[in-house]
Amino acid sequence: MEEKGLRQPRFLARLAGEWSGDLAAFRVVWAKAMMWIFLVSDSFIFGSFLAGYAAARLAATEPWPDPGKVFALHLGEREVPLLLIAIMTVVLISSSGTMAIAVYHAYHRRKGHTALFLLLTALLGLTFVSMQAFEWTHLIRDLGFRPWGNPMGAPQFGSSFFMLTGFHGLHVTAGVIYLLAVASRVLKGVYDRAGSYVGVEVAGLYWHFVDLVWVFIFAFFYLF
Amino acid sequence: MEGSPEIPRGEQHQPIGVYLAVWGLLFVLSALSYLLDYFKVEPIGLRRFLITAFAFLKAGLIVAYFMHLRFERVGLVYAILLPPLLLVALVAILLPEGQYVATVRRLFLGGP
Repeated sequence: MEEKGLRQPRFLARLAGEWSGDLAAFRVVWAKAMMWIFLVSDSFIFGSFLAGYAAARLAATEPWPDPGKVFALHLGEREVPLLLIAIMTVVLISSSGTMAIAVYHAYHRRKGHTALFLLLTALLGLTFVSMQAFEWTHLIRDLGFRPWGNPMGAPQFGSSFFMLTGFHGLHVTAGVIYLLAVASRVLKGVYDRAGSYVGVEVAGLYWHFVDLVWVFIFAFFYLF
Repeated sequence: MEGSPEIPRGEQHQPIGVYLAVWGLLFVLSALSYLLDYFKVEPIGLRRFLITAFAFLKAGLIVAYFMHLRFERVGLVYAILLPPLLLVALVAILLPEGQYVATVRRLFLGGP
């Protein structure tokens, strides 16, 4: 990077310098680079699902069911729109917060705290999946929603909903299992012996990504 | 080549206050999005614009601070952030396609 005559923008020079490092372009531990590559590819899956949902919704000739009404909960006499979804959002954001704190404690190598916050995150994730199971049951059994049709309007609603939230719920479920495995490794002292808690941070990346996907499902499926 | 297989980054010691502040912001932005829908803020274009803007703001906060991307090497940052931009092209293709299919369905199958 000695060519002062070239006057490239600063970030271009840095980008070229780091990519030309031959063997270790990213210079992070391999697990972290691999998790990021997986997450980038996963973002394409969810991005394609959301784009497909947008196309299906635009192509629908029957009116699109109002998610506010479909996912309303009754509080006494009153019908509160999207209440369950709002609670699920709060639960998932909270789990992302506890995950960040788990990673924070992992940096400081506090075994007990890390495991505690990992287990708390897994518990919140489990709560989220349980609420989603309740939501699906209600939608299928009580309201008669099916992937091919529903009594409230455009049949595309069901297929988009089951595909988007189903795939996301699968990710949360896998995440809960993953977090429990990492928590057990923390408690067994695997990361202490390895001298690095980066495994917790990598698990954190996955969990935050699940929260990230929910941000877009919440915005574009439930609120739009 | 500067630095053999050294692994320096990856353990940034941010104060816990940063995480708590981001956590709080995520709650505030989610609540605002929900309220926009709850009170059916009109016009709908403005509501949808704000919901989209809040979603991307939340995504940015999660990626930058919770996933520490702000503190990674620029090579990794661009390797992660540039490829998903292809999705913009996919959306740009599929939105007119959806509208076209709707038009054709109305023309040939009837309906509203």
